[in-house]
Amino acid sequence: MFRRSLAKGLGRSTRAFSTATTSLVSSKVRAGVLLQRDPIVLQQADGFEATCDKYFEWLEYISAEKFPRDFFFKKGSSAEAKWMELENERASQWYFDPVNKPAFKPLKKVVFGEDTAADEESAVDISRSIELQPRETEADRSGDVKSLERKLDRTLYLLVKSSKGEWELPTGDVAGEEVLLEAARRNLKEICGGKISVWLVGNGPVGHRKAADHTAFYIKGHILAGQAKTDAKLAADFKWATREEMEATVSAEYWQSVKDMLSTV
Amino acid sequence: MYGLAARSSFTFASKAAATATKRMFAASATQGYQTRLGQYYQNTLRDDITILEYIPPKVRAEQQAAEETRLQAARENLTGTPPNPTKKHKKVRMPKPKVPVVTAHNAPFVKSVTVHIRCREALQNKHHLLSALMALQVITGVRGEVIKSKNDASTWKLRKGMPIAAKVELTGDRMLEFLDKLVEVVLPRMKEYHGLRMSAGDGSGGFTLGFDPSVIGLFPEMEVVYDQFPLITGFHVNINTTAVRNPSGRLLLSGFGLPFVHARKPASETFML
Repeated sequence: MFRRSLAKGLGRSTRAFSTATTSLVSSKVRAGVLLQRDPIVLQQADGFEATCDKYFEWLEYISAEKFPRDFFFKKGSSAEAKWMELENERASQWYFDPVNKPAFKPLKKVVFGEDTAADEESAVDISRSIELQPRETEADRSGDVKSLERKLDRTLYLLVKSSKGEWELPTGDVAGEEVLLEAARRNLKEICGGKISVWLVGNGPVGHRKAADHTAFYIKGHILAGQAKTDAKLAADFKWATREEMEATVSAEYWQSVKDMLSTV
Repeated sequence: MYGLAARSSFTFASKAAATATKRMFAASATQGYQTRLGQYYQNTLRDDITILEYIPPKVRAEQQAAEETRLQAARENLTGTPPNPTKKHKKVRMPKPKVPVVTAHNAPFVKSVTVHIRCREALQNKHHLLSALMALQVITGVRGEVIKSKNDASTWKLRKGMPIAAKVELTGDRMLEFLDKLVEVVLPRMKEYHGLRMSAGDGSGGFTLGFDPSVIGLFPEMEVVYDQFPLITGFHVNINTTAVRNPSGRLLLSGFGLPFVHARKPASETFML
């Protein structure tokens, strides 16, 4: 049984409780799940960070090994010409050292002959640009808080609305001789339905909340597939919220108990 | 023919500026947040590893007590036969570093990845090493370093100082990109590769994978230039992690997608008449 939440226990020496009457484990123990959808796209910096990243990228570009053009492309081939075009475009964006900007060399004229005809078939089409999907999805625009495709660069956490109308992490009782992990898994299935594929991290909790009549322990989990479908008897509603949205939704006292379990991203 | 000395159309205005920027870059490079694996580790995997490795203080105390009694028994040699006085003392092995207490800041991470090609054909003709060097540059994007032999081996006609192998050491974002490429593209394309063995690892956080010559052609960069290589070689990938034991290293690498499987005994060993 964990006597302290992980967040408190790490990096600090254990102290004895000053009052012997209050024990961490109250009469009733509840098991909940901190279910998260991990970020799907990379985080993009902005402002000063973005400029810094661009600067380091430029440093790496100019100090990297010279691309062995003669090794990869046949001299005078159309593939080489296409690559030269792309490279000239890239090099023309010389951000940080205008004094040492290299001279722009005009491209060689492409010679069409027997060599290039054979080369065309085997050459990789490097001018084919990669189409990027948009970072903002339909769910972002419509503000659909139930969707798992919202806020792709952030971590989303599952919140359920209890029958009393309070937003909280999906929590339930521990029945009989159940282990905490089993109880958490069962409670999640009861509250959110069976059409959800989850991986629970480890056997022990990552946080706890001491309420008046019970102590709830939360086990971290990742959603791998599926979607939550709340049982009307146990939960009125659900949503997938970012860290800031969770702070705005749950009560201040609840937030103090759960905030240290959450990722900053 | 290989174009190793090829120059692209860009020339630095001053060589001094180029070397200055190279030094600057080496010191100030951002390490491991621009790539998919880097961000995944920082935002998700590191937390999971910390949770999975965490041992409560009471259990840890019990484990340490058990370890102490075991070491004490070994020192006093309470079990087994008395030592033979005529035999020389064995060399005492250096003790492994102790497993540190799990905190929020010391989850294992990959330190460096070394790609190494030992070229036996270089014994006859050292120019065969160019294939290995070029292959390393194509795969990793970094120019390879030539390794000369340190010892003589007459059975293989090896003399001290002969160039015999090539290697590249990757760190930071380049290392993570290489690992990502290996796990996502190369290993799935291999025939009958199921993963590293559960017994893999050197006990101090190092893991090695060895590959046949057929694997080097599976890298996406090699598809274009495969025919230009007169010599196709196999290679080794050494992954150095900051883990101090095999299980921690396995946890980290499996988090990055490297599969681990139990070695299956051949049928002849499992059933004996």
